[in-house]
Amino acid sequence: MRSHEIDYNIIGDDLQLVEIELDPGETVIAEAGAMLYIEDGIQFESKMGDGTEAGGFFGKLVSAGKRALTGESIFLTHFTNRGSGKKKVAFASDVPGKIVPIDLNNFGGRILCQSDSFLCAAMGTKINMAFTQKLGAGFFGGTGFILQKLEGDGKAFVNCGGCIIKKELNYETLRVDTGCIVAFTEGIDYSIERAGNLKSMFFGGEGLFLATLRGTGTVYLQSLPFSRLANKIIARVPTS
Amino acid sequence: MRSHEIDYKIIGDDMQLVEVELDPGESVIAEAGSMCYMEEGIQFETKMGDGSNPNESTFGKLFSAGKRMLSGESLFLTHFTNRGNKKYTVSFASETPGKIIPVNLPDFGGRLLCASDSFLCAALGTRISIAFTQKFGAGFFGGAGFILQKLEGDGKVFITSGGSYVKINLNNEVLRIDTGCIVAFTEGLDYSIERAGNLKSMFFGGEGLFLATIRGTGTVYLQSLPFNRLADKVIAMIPPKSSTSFDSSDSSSSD
Repeated sequence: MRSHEIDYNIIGDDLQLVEIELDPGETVIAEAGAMLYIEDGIQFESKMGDGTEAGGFFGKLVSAGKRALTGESIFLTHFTNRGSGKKKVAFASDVPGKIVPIDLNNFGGRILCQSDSFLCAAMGTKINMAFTQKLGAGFFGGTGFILQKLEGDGKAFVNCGGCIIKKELNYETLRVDTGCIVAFTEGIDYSIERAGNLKSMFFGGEGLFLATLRGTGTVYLQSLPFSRLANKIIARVPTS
Repeated sequence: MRSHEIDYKIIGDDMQLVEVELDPGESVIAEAGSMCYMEEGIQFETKMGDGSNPNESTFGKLFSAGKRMLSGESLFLTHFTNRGNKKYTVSFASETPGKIIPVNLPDFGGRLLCASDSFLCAALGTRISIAFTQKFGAGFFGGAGFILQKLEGDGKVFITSGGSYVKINLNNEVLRIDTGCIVAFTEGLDYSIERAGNLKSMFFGGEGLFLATIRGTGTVYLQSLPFNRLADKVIAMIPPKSSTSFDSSDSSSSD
């Protein structure tokens, strides 16, 4: 199905929210718990799946189950403008960071993102899980070995922790701390490789493995992976 | 040794990342775990010490690493070197939300004292050692820990602040500071801890029992959001363990 054409406005500098303007009848789907406020005419409903499946209940269950595997909620919330004028709904990440608006058309209709970076998208966007080519890749990667695949011809919004860095690779290789990956386009090969020698692995704190991104396409990276911040806080929790 | 001359670019507004561009053969040393991404020609190695003295013996290395450990930091620093044949970049960011302050050490007479967790990365050749504050009491009561890191060299270093940072030039002046808000200051400034206000504000004011006092002539960098403040606020939200689970763990240990 064709995605709804939604307008948006991103507010804030480094800790952002996105305000989405819906025409009557338009819908935006969002990660559960990301909504901040909605105007009068907006109604919402939690549904299994992204609403693009034509199939019956069983089809929905399968795709919801696949979402559960990525560690996300089985349910997505659908926000629909049931009023007569344009109405707004706003979303934000639950970690400090920026929001990246992505027009899927610019990336051949498809982008892969880390499982917790999806924020919201126009109705019509398909949200799927995608295994990385090599099973070993994700198994050792801090980000979990399952990525989310966003497919469609509309807008999707992903969030990052800290600031966002957009890199264009042209037959190039970039080695990345696994937590720093936000999203990348298809055509980029993602694998996990052992980092440095044994001494760096154990004493370096750079993690045992680094993600290697190879090929041609676009990569979005974040400066402050939530896990780094959380681990730093957890280290301060008094033990008793 | 002379420090490598590194180029850099700071990205972001309030939560920043620094991209360091290395010429072939150049190195940058960084706090373990702060690397975000690097281009192909960059290789890294974990080493004891800052590598500023290539002729140092193992014992010397061990000694300076031990001193680093005292300041609460990792024994090891990671050395990132460009082994390629053109320029490549490597990037670093703090684990806490905040800005990155680029400091050119020659601007401060080649020496800067910083809070023990604010060092991010530096050109190879920079010496990183601990510095005791003049008065032992100072650090003991200060939330920032009583040990500071001393950065010495003739190159660039990058330190991180939590939140935004303020640069204040003191000219024979006195500034009193919440100890957690200190990022760095130049030598020549006298740092001490003094009792803050009267008894009532000590107990009810929440400003801590003691404030750091910085006196003299030089430059001070301060931060708006010390990590401890943020972390303690998060930790205070953790629900206490319920009494029932406490009891059950108690009985199982007595079994």
